[in-house]
Formats: sequence, C-alpha cells, structure tokens
Amino acid sequence: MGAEGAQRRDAVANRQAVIDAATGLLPLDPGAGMQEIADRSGLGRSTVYRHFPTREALFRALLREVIATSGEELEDLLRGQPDLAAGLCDVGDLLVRVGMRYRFLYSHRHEAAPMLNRVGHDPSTPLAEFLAVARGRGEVRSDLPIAWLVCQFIALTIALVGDVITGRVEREGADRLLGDTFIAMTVARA
Amino acid sequence: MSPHRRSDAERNRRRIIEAGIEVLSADPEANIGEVAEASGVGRTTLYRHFDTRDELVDAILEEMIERSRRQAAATDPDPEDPATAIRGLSRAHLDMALIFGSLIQARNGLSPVVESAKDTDESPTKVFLDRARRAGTIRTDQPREWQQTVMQVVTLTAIDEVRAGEIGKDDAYEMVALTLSAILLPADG
Repeated sequence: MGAEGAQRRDAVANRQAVIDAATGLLPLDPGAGMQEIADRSGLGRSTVYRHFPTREALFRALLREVIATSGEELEDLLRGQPDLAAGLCDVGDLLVRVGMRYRFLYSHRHEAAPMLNRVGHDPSTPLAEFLAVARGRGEVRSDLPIAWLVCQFIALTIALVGDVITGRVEREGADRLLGDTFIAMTVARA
Repeated sequence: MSPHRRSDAERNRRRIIEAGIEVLSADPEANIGEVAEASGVGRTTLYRHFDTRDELVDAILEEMIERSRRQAAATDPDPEDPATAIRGLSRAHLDMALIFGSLIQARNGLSPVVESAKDTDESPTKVFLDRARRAGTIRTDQPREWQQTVMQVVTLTAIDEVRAGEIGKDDAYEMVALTLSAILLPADG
C-alpha cells in the first residue's frame, strides 16, 4: 500500500500540475499546444498524455477546475455579506472577471452544460445559500425558484462573455451590467 | 430544366423538409432513409437535393427559424405594452424552441445556420426592443444588444429546464415572462 499510495499521490500531483500549467498558460496564449503546456508543468509530454490523452480531455478537466474555483471564490465573496444587492453586484463582477479570464473555454461551453446544470440545481452552493438566506429576510422575490435564478445567472454570464468576445457588448461596464441584471430579476419589488 | 420540372423539384424539396421536421423532432437520431420514407420521395431524389444529412438538417433549421420569426411577428408586439409584448414573444420562442431543440440535437456539431441567425436584423425581438426603447417603455440604460441576448438566453435556459423535467411548459411561459419583465421594464413601471 505504501509505495502504491505514494504513486497515487504523485499521479494526483502531476495531474494538478498540468491543470495549473494550462490555466496559467491558455489565458495568455489560447493556441498553446500540449507540448508547451507540458513544458510549463515541468513534466514530460508522455506523462501529460497519460493524464489527458486528448486536448478535449484536458479542456473538460479545465472546465471542472474553473467551476470549482469560482465556487470557492464565491464562497469567500458572499460569506457574511448582509446586503442582497451589494452581494449580487459583487457576484456579477467576479463572474465577468472569471469568464473573461477563461474566455478560451467559451467555445467549449456546450460540453460544460451538464456540469453547470448540476451546479445550478445544487441548493448548497454559496450563491444558492446566499439567495435562500436573503429570501428568508423577504428580499428575494418568492415567485421564482432559487435554482431557476442560479441557472439563469450562469447562462447569462456565459452569454455576456460571448457578447464581449464578439464585440456586441463592451468589456467596460460589463460587470456592472451583469450585476444589475441579476439584481433586477432577483429583488422582491414592493 | 423546364418550369414544370423545377416546380416538381421545389415540391419534393418541401416534402422532404416537412417530413424531416416531423421525423427528426420525434427522433433526433433518425437517419436519412427514414426521412426519405416518411416524405414519400425516393432516397435518390432526396440525395439529389441534399448531399449530406447535415445539409438536410440545416435546411430544416433554416425553415424553423423562418417560422419562428413569423410566429413571433404574429404576436404583434406592442411597444406601448411591453409586458404583454414580452410575454407573447417569449411564448412564441419557447414553443418553437421546444421543437427546435431536438432538431439541433439532430445535427452533428454546431449548425452555422443557428449561429448566424442571432445576428440578423429582421428579428421581431430586435424590432420590438428598438421601438420600445424609443417609446421609453423599457429600460434604455442597458445596451439593446444585451437585452436581445437576455431574451434569447432566458428562453433557452427555460427550454433546458423543461427538457430536464425540472419545470412544466406552462410554468416555463410564466417564469420566462416574469424574469424578462423584471430585467427589461423600468423599476418604477
């Protein structure tokens, strides 16, 4: 078990090293190849290919990674945030920033759909919990389910990133626009 | 080709597309032979019109987009009554998208037809948004392009929810209308 355990830990560390290298490199150079990613990770090409036989496999892992880190960042952002509108503003800000940083994943968004759908329906994500607490205070409209709101937030974020990429919407002010859209659809009106 | 033969060809093409809509919206995996059979034209005739299955599916999608546009325009969106207009437009889009969705699945990979449809100018949604903005009945502090994206995205997300069995079709009409009105109408309206 000892040697096997160590091997396993190595494999996990190597896998993470590849993911880290790719998330560091691809935002700067979206066309970077597997060789360049291997170089940056400090691992051999064959080790990289053992973990990710294809570019597609690597991109799937990157999508998972980006979703997971965004979840962690949202948790930090919303912890102890008492104000619904201010919180949603910050969420819009964060999601546009993450979305733009990882815009090289935009063309892979369809592969991410099942993952994002699960996230959207999970009541224990930081965003869903934040909305549930605010609903308890009567601040979130009661005629739309929280899962609906979160799924729409996710879809709107990806769409806005697409609009910025194609130049339909300006990058400047896009974060405000997203936060403002979230607020408009969420806040209970008198 | 004589005019007579040309109109025959046109009729066959239409029959294939109609059959394709029926067959592929019921079963996105259906093959081209099944479409030929349902249309009553022979396989050879079908291949004379469409070289590949994707080409056939694209022609079907084009037809559906055109119909979707006509349906949306038929709701006659009134810029003076944006809440009703939004309800009507989104309902028309939901209805079409429910059929559309399985047709998009029927194609291998993304269809250029669907991708380019977003940016065309004749969309009834765009026309409505422009008019309502001029009339001051919807918000003008959001870019019109974003408002158009919002109308499309909120509807498409609703379709996913209906397909996944999370919500019913009637819920979807209501939830889309509530969501879009909240985003697009002025807060004091």
